[in-house]
Amino acid sequence: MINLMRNELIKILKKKSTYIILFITIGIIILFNFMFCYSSQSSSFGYTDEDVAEYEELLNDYDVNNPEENSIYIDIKSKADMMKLIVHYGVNSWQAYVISDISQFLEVMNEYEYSIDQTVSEKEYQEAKQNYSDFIQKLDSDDWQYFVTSELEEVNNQIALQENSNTTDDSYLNSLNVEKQILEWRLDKNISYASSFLNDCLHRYESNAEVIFNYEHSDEHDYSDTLNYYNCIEALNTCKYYIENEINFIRSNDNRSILLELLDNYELFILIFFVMIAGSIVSDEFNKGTIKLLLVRPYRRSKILLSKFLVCIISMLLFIAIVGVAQFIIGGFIQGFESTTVPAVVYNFNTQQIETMPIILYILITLLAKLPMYILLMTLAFACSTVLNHTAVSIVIPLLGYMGTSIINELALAFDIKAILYFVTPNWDFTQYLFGHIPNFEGLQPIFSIGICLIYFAIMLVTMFTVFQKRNIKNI
Amino acid sequence: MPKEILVCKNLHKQIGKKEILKDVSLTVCEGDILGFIGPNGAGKTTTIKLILGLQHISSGNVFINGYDIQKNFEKAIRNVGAIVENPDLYMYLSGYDNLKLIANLYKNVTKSRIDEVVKLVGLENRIHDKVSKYSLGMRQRLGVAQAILHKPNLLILDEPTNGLDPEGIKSMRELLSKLAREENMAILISSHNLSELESFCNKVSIIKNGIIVETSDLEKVKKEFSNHCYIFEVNNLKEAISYIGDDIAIPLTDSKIKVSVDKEHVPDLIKKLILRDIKLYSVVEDVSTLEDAFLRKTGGNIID
Repeated sequence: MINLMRNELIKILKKKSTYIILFITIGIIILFNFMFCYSSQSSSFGYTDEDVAEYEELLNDYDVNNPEENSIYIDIKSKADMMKLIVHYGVNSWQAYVISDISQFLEVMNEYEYSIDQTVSEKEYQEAKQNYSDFIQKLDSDDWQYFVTSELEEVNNQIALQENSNTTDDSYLNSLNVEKQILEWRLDKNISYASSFLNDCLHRYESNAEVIFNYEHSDEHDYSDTLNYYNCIEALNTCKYYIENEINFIRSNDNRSILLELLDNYELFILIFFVMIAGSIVSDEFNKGTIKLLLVRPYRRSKILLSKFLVCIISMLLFIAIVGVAQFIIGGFIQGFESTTVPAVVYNFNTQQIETMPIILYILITLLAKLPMYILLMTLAFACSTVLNHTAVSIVIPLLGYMGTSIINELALAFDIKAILYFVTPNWDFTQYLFGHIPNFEGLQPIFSIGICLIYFAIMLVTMFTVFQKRNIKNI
Repeated sequence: MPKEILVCKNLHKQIGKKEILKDVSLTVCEGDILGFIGPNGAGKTTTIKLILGLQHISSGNVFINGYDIQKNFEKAIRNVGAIVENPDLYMYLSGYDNLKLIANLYKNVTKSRIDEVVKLVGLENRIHDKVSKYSLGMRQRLGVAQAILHKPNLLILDEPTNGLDPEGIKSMRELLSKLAREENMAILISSHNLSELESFCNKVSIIKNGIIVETSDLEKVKKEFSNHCYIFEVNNLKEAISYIGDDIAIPLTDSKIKVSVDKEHVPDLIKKLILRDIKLYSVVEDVSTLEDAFLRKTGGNIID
């Protein structure tokens, strides 16, 4: 049996197609890391110098002295000035985030300078100009704490106002409190408005907190709301953990985050690899006639098939290990290794607490949860290969099945088909149960899912072993 | 009485309603080389597949070294080496890797045994090349190598001379004779090409339409189908025929006559011709080839 398995492994390792897939996957890993390395600096202000120049050119199309075009001209001029300032400080700077307050002064100034109607008095102009230069001075002094403090003051005033009023708006008060918390964090943990991982965390914290509050204060919600609620709790708590522990990353999609999502990021390649192996391991031998070499040896047919099946599982695990190591090394060289020293952070719904664990352990846990799905898809490829004896079909069917999974699940959710629970696709992904999370479909239980997966697994196993045992070796 | 290695008893094979094999019985003893002869579609390969357990037996039994292939497959097949149809090998592996894969499946095959077998089939120079670069003849040799690697006592070869050049056929013949003689192997070898078998088989079985029509020693078959003909080479064809009598003499070429006559009467005929002053250059016996016997036996094989 061990000898049979060793032979199967040698055959796989000597096949060209194995290495073609491997090289393609490694190429994709390299591209993937480069992609995140150079395209992550996106901001809500997507301005560049060219955009500013284009806007200023637009000004030439309008005549300042024409009464009809005068107001449009002033409008565009104010906007162009704004953009110039944002580009000046950088689109990802903290200044860009707070600069919108300056636009009122800019508008007054431009109105005074260009308007034919003279709606702005000299006094108003001087005042605006003074405010403008004060503002610019603050921006230049890099004193973002000033803006935080003044915002905090404002929020505190609002809270006091709300608490003293008779008609308290709970939702508003809650959002104010969240806002206050965030501002305090900014001062406390030294997080400026400039775009950074922790700044993103603050924003995510805010939006998730709002969803959670709304959910907890409404009586009517369906299952998808609950699901969303759970996801928000998870996101909120992980964000909170990062903020409180001041764990900052250069960008949100670094080596660590790609590693944590390893199976999701490279799932298609892992799938293609093991489906290709399992879909060809039996049918290739039949089609090429080499199965006769194997069947005239002193081993029972069931042993031959079983050894092939086990080797498929082994090679799949090997491939996942290679992908993981490749991502760690390639990601490390392209994006740096420092992010991978931070452990994985998960929110456990059972204990309602944040837990940390080594990244490798986290990957292994998710792999274990994904394994039923992988093995079922692999068994499908293997069974097709054994029963149909057609390599191409055996590879395509499981891939189509995988791609159709989300469609089937979405349709079942949309039309509320309960029978889908007895189908394998909602059950086979056990990551939905991890750390006390609720499943994607209402009414699913881990035990039930295990049962369903086992039933499908057994049906395929019995079919393929029976067919293989009884098969006549036809003339080739 | 030599030991019986392979015994097939009343094999039947039915696919759908069609009976492919009817009551096929064979026995191969150690040291025997059995030529299993039949035209295309007669059931040679099917019989071999039943013997090797590659196809389900409808009824009947196959015993190899006393073990029933259906009940005790692992023990029965242990001492069998085989090539079925083409020598199908892993094309993407080298010849050596192919042999190594096979060697892994048996306990007693060492590295030196692989080298020994490679030398035996004469592939030393190319054994580390990929099989996809081999010619058909080289693949046949490698096929034989994988079949004899684990020192089986029964060798089953399905048309092993396919694709070999005359020299290759000769060396294959020598190899098989040597294996039968020295290692006392029992060999079952199927072919539709008889002339290449007659020189080294000691037994033949002829199959036609799924039925064994003849099983016996090669010499016996030859004798049975010998038709007592002699070929006379003369200078004057017409005159010679008239003296011999045209009821027994048939002209073959300008100078050769085929004469159906018993051995005892040949000297009389020679004397007769010489006395008539006809120049007689040669008289040879027209040896009945296995081919003729075969064609007569299998004439009218119907492929349906």
